[in-house]
Amino acid sequence: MIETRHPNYAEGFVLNWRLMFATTRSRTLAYASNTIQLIRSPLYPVFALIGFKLIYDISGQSTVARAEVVGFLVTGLLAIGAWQATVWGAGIALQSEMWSGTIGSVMMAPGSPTAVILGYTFANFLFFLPAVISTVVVGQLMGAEWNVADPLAIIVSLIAVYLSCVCVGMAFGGLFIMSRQANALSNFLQEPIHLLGGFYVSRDVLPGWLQTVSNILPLAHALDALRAASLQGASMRTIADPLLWCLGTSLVFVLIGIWSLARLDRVVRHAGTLDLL
Amino acid sequence: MHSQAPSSPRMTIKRNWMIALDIALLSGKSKVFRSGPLFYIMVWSSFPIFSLLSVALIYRNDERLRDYAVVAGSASAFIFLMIYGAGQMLDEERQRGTLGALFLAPAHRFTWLGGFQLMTLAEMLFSATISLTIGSLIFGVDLSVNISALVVSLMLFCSALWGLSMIIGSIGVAIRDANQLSNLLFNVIVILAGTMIPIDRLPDWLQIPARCLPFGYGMEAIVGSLANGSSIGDLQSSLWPLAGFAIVLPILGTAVFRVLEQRSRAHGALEFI
Repeated sequence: MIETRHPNYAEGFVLNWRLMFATTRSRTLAYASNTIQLIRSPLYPVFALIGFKLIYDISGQSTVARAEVVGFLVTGLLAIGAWQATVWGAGIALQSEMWSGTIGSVMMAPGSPTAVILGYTFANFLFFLPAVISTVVVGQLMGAEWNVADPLAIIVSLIAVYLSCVCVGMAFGGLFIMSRQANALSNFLQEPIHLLGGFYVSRDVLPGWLQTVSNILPLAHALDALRAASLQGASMRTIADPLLWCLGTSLVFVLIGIWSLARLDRVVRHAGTLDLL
Repeated sequence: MHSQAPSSPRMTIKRNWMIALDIALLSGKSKVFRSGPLFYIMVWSSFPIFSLLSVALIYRNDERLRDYAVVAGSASAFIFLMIYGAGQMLDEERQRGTLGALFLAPAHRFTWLGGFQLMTLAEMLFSATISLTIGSLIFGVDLSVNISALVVSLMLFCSALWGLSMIIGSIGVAIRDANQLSNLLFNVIVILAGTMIPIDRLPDWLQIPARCLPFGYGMEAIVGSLANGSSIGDLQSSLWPLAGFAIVLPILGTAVFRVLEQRSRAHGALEFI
């Protein structure tokens, strides 16, 4: 008789860490093999920056939400990069495994599907790194004006931008696959969140009910904190409010993620089929 | 031995039209039922609607620019679907493994291609109408439509876009990744197409490339005929260049597609790179 032994917490952590690292590596190599994608990645935010700067110029606005336009757009584009990495990484992680014919192994292996989803997300963060650099460099050349009083506030709010996306990604990883429309949802969720997150347009100009909806997004609060810290000289104390909002809403998404992935696991094992994917 | 009576040109046209219509319906059903009607509408209308909302909110204090953003933003559905729908169509067939069968089918290439394009045209009109309705309701845009000018503008614009989609689609198959090509091109085209910024308000260095493309002329003609009630005579400065693109681009697109077809026969493969 073969005896199976469940890994203890330490072994489980190491196992999932290695699984996440392997997924990140494999996805990064897959991206790196696509020449057009490599060319496009740093260009996309540059074109968006030029386009929206022109729109603001034509409308005669040199400041948005008490911040200078180029800085406002550069920070918004950093958030867009993180958001894109989430919807196209975590959101379609399990669906990609299904397309590759490896979903069975992912679901039945002793490692957690969460590690795979996180691997996809971190690979996308890495892939968007050249875009972050090109955005900041071109923004600087276009005359972005920064007002930094507390560098720690910028570091913390930048971490909040990316961590909030990881939390949303965990929820999306499970919810998207349960909807059976991961690709459609990833496509759909890009533009509405650009608007609700205040990436190109300040959330202040949204109608009241849309502002309420946008408050659900942790990334919107993290971006508020990043803009305050980098464009208005805010300190850690000043950005505490948006960071707390970001933390609270991120936790909600983590809980949704845990619930949806556990439910997915239960349903797959109970039905004994991956057809629901 | 079977003898086949030669069919009259009228019969041939009728048969090809029926094939194209069948393919359009089949393609539509496949697209809608693959993701479900709700997700289908959400995906294809999301970009024009939310993009126009963002731009119109920035232009909120300038009524003229705001109205332009709503109408041109809705018309951006044509460009979006041309690149992501029609442009990727051939490559999607290749990925499904059905492109070879289509090339070998006993029907003229432009018959089945026309069927797919017909469906895309219906999608363009549907998506643009939804976007325009939503944008107009939210921002209270008063439309003043000149029907004849709008019909002429749309016909010329769609003809030019069709030609361009043939070029992009053929290149997409050749490089085996039409989606990434679409992503790359779309970012540039959005700035130069006049969907967010009227071409005459662009800086000079951007107006030059914008005037070498059909999009800006199409946008000017559509906005003029749809929002300002401009007649065909009023829109001459946009319609003449657009007519030129509407003739040249389909010829060029057809030629590029023929090259793709010839090379695929010569190599015995649908991929060259």
